[in-house]
Amino acid sequence: MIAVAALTALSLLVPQQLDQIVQDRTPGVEMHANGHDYAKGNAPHNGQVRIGSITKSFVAVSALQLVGENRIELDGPVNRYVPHIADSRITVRQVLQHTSGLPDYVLAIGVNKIADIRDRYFAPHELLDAALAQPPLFEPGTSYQYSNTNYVVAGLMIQKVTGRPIGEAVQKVITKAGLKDTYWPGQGEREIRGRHAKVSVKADLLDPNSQVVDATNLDTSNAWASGAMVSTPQDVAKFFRTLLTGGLLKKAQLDEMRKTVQVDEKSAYGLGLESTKLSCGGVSWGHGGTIHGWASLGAATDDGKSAAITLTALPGTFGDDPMNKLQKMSDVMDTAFCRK
Amino acid sequence: MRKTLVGVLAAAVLVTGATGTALSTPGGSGVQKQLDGLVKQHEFPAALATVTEANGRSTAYVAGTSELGKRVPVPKDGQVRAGSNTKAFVATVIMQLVGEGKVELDKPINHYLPGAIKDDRITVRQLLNHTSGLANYTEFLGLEKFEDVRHRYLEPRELLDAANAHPVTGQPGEKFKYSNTNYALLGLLAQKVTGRPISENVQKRIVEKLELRDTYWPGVGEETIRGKHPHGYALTGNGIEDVTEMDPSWGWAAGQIVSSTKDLNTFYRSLLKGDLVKKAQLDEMQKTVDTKGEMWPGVEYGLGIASAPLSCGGRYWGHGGDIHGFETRGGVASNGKAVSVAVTALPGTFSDTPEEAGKAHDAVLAALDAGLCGAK
Repeated sequence: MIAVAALTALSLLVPQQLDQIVQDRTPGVEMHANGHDYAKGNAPHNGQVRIGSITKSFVAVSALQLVGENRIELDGPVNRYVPHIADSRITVRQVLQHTSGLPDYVLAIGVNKIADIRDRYFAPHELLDAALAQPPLFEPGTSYQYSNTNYVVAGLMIQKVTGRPIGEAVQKVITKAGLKDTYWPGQGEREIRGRHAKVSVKADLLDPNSQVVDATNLDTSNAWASGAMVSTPQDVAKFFRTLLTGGLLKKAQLDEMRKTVQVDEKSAYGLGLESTKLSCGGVSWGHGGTIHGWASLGAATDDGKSAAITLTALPGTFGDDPMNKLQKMSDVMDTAFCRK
Repeated sequence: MRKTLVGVLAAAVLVTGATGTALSTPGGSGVQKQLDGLVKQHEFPAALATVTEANGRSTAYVAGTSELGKRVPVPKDGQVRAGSNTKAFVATVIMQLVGEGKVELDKPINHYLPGAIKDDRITVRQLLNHTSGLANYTEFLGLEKFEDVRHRYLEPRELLDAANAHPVTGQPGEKFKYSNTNYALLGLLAQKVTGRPISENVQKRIVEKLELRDTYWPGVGEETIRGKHPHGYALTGNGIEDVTEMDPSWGWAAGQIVSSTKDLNTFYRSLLKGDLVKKAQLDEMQKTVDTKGEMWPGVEYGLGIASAPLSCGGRYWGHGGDIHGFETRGGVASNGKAVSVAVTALPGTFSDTPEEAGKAHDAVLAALDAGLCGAK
């Protein structure tokens, strides 16, 4: 009886919460939670989505695999692998943890205006150049500030160490995790390969009054190793579940990945992996990702639960309250992990 | 010492005087005989040629075997790594951009790519005709130990970094000195100005326009050759190796393209007819500089295309390419006839002396000459 009641709670509560999201001016939402697919609004069941910064978790796993093979030294200077970083004090760990102080490149290249970047190919070094033209945010290791530049550096590091493109290095992670619908877009690729929603974005992310435009096709070279990948809610959930259950990294490296710095009262950042406190006690481990048209969360817990959610517009695109919408996303994830 | 050639660096070792002796044999049979000679006398595993007449009709010839040590038929018009012919494609894109008013030939490259190189005086034109004096990055990648580099992916910036770490070979505009660095910069220029990958520019502006079915820019990390192709061989630390599969990212805008002898004919014919760039830009491309001692005898270098004399008088325009596993030579004569020849190893791969290597290269040029000077 208890089991039936628990199943009912999850299977009803999640759809209710997803309904609330689409009723509050979000065009669509898709979710995978503990083996079930949900879809509301314009989102197909388990359609392909741009996962944005969840890419960082894949890149971090690739880097930590190389640490496990003794090909990268976690506390060694990152400029051993990426000589363009002048400050020898910056370590690989600091890069993966956003404690390097490297300034973010994204606004410097103008990603806020989709018309300027939708069809624009950026070489990885253009992103790094834009970052390094700015002063450092702080002394290496003295603070935490999320900066996409860190993962461009991580991508270049992996390329240098493996002698192969980052897409190929990450494909090994994808293959090991058994993900069928996840890929690194090819150079210049702008369409999403599989079944997917059409998505919308503000013409200027910095201007709440700007009009809403289509964002479905996009050259994600502007995000590269900090956010270029395409996946599905099922695959994202499976990725974090496989990672957390030891299927992708040796224990020593998974332990390093979970050594965190505090971000706010509910969350802490490890190496490309973020912990979030759960209402039922304990934490989930995962990552968020926002990119033009898409907002996602994916995570898993130590006891083998996993979930991923994606919205087909960034919170705030259609006049909804972005903070409130992010909270709602977080709440559904909490439901998936805490309601039995 | 055996010498590996990179780019159209027909270095001194290959500059050994006049082309072959079979020039009197007319027409197609002459080409076939030349290809047979390339295989039998010069030990190239395979030789391929395509003759495209002024009216556009093409005839393909092959000799040898696709795979060393086996008898495997060589596919006519098979795909080959076209090496430095890539430069002609990239130059065409740049000249289209000049025609569109997006690039100025005599503006410094640093105007478009701030800080890319130290010398602010070096112009786009000097990159196109190899008079920039920039160090040639392929000398600094360890390509002489090809087995170590063969499967390595390199970012275009790494190529430029390697060049910038070495002293210049001359003052801007001073003299012709073949350098792959020039075309790495031109690739970056095309990307900067168009906001699209150089691969896509070549695909949209040339390959699709001319419907070249066997020409493509290998994708990031792509190591195999997509279509029917003969295998290519090179001398590495492991001996003679099948190097068909390789990561050509070290060649990039100086040498990454895969093509066929037929497609190369179509490309050079279209380019020289004025189908790809406007007349003003084609005229600029055909303004040449002397290449004395840097290429083979009589070669003059324009902007991404070169001309060389024919035994029957006149000159042909093309480029040629040398990359591990494949050498191509070809071009179009003033009568509109085009010939391209490919062999599946660089001259010198199977030779014991520089003289033999030089003769092997001469024989490739002789096959080309036989095709362009033959009857019809």
